[in-house]
Amino acid sequence: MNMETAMRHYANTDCVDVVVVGAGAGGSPLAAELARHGKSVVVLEAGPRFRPEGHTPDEPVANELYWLNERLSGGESPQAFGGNNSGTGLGGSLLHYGAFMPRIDARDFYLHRETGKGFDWPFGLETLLPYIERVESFIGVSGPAQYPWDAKRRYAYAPPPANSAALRMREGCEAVGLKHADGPAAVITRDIEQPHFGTRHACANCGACHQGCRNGAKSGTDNTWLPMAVAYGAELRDGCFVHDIERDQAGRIIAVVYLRDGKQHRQRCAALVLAAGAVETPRLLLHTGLANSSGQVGENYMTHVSTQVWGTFDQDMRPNRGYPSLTITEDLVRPKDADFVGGYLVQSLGMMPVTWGLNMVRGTTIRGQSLTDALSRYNRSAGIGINGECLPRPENRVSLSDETDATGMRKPRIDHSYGPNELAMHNHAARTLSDIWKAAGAQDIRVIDRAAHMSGTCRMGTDGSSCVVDPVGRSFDIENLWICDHSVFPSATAANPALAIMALSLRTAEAMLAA
Amino acid sequence: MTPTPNITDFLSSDHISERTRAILQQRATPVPEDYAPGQLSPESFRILRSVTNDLLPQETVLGTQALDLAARIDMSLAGKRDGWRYAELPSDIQAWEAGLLTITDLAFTQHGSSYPDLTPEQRGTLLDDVTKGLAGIDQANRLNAPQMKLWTSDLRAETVACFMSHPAVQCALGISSSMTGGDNVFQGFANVTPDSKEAFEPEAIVAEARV
Repeated sequence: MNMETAMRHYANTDCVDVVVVGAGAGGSPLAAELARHGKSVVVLEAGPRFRPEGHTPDEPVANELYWLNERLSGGESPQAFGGNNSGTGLGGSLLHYGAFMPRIDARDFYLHRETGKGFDWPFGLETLLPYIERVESFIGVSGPAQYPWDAKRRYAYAPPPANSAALRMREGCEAVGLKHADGPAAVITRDIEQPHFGTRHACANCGACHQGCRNGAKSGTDNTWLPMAVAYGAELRDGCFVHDIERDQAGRIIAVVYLRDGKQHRQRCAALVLAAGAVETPRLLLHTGLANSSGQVGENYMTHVSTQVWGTFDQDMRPNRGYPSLTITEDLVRPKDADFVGGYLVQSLGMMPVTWGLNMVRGTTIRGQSLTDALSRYNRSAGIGINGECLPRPENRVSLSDETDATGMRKPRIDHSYGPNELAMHNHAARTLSDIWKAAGAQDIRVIDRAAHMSGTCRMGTDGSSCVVDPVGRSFDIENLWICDHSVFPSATAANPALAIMALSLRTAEAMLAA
Repeated sequence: MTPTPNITDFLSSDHISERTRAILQQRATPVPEDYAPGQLSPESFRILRSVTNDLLPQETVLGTQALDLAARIDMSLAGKRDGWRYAELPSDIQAWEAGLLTITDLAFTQHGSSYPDLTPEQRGTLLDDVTKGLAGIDQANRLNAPQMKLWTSDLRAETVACFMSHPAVQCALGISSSMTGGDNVFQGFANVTPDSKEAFEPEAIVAEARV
């Protein structure tokens, strides 16, 4: 369908039932679900509306999919932003995400109960599972017929073909005695008619997931939840940067104020949902001073330990081709020889050349002809990488810096330092992945020490003195304020965040409808 | 002598979309030989030329057709940046100016001459020291040792991004990442396994890139 011509429009003076800030994995399922149940919904998205056909695999220009308002990155392990964690536009970070879609392991919900470290979720997998299955079913996720770590699990689409890195990881895992499988990937592998959207084509193995999917194969929110939201009467308003929240005498939210085309607008609303991500959501709350009686807004910023190991093979690998990260092993979610708590998922890695070059050059100190030669071996390269638990730590937080940007708000500062648990996990992964890669025939093995993703900063829980929102995402302080993105994650878990964000989004929508 | 890549066939492939082709063609346009920096000072720009040559020599990939990476970095400093910076560094343009002038001053302090006039070994040691956070200058408009460690990470990243995103480099290294599909037919890749280059993909002309 054409989302622009068919879309309903509301006036700023209309008091809509719900304003949602952010059109990514957090805001979109909820917007669709609320609209489907008859609520009037306006989604305010800071970024533009992209056309899938217009996406380009050219990496410098594909940066247009990233959140580019400057962030200050501090701490002992300052994190790179932009790519791989922060998107912009209708579709949010799912426009550029890698679509790797594992489920959270049941043990990761209760890491504190298990180990005395970390912070537990207020519910377990059994609570989230029905929503997870709804998300997988609606957006389309591919996976193997038999998932080795969960016999009951089924995927609706066959996996895409294994590329060079995926094949080598199978060999390496077998050589060192680890189970492996085709991982869950949010890409469809046969053409379908997506309800309220239209034709989505099967994955063409182009390898440019991170630069935006051009044929609708990758399951984002732009080709699933957002068209559904529009079909049920929601309005998607792009280019709107929310910078203020108005309340009445009783403290209830009555409107949001946003910048669009350099002008200030005010949208009245009966309820507000913040779904702007683990940096912009707390930034807006810190800027407005709202919902922070716990003092926990911005605290407990978490990432994933995302160590990578790369090597060179005596083959023409062409790492840009094919779905980038197909092979998975979940055997290290609780490694037997771990000197840390929690664990990690391992995936094979193909990669586009600039991203690959940047990882290498930021992760090593090689220079001169050695660097030229290493870059020249791109076509012979393949990688393997992890996403692992990152414990919440008081040092790791989002705060407001002293610098102001063009929106008039202070730029966010994100402090991120690995603690002993993250360092031990990184070292374990570096050894294990190097062993896998040596067994697969890799030479010139390089370990890249990096963190990816983001979560935390508006913790969800049962205690309003230590958490920002309750177990369904409602603010403890403001009755008609809800938070619906990865900032509510109590712990990082080892799984890529998108699936849980969308599942929580459906759950929060259900709670709002019941409220 | 490394053969010079001919990118005409590469850029005319029907596996490249029109938007991507326009992007690559624009990037393939040579920088004028008399390029004058618009962001960096003449002195820091002169140092950047020398530093990028030391960091990433291009002859084995591009023969005599080396890219003016310093000019491309100066141009990119004028545009939209990548959305973040190290909290311990000043704004991007200030950091680049200060970082390069720090290299100049260190060269004079340590060896009594300008960075480009040092021996290759001296330049290499100096670059390694600042990259590892072992050298810097603790004064205004310069970067101290920990800041140099952070800024050289940006220096290395920007240099490599300019290099790897250039169509001549992609062509020379046999990289098909821009060839995800055309506008009328979105071909993707039929072959994704090792040693299965498709006919339309470029063949590497650089020895290191070949098996």
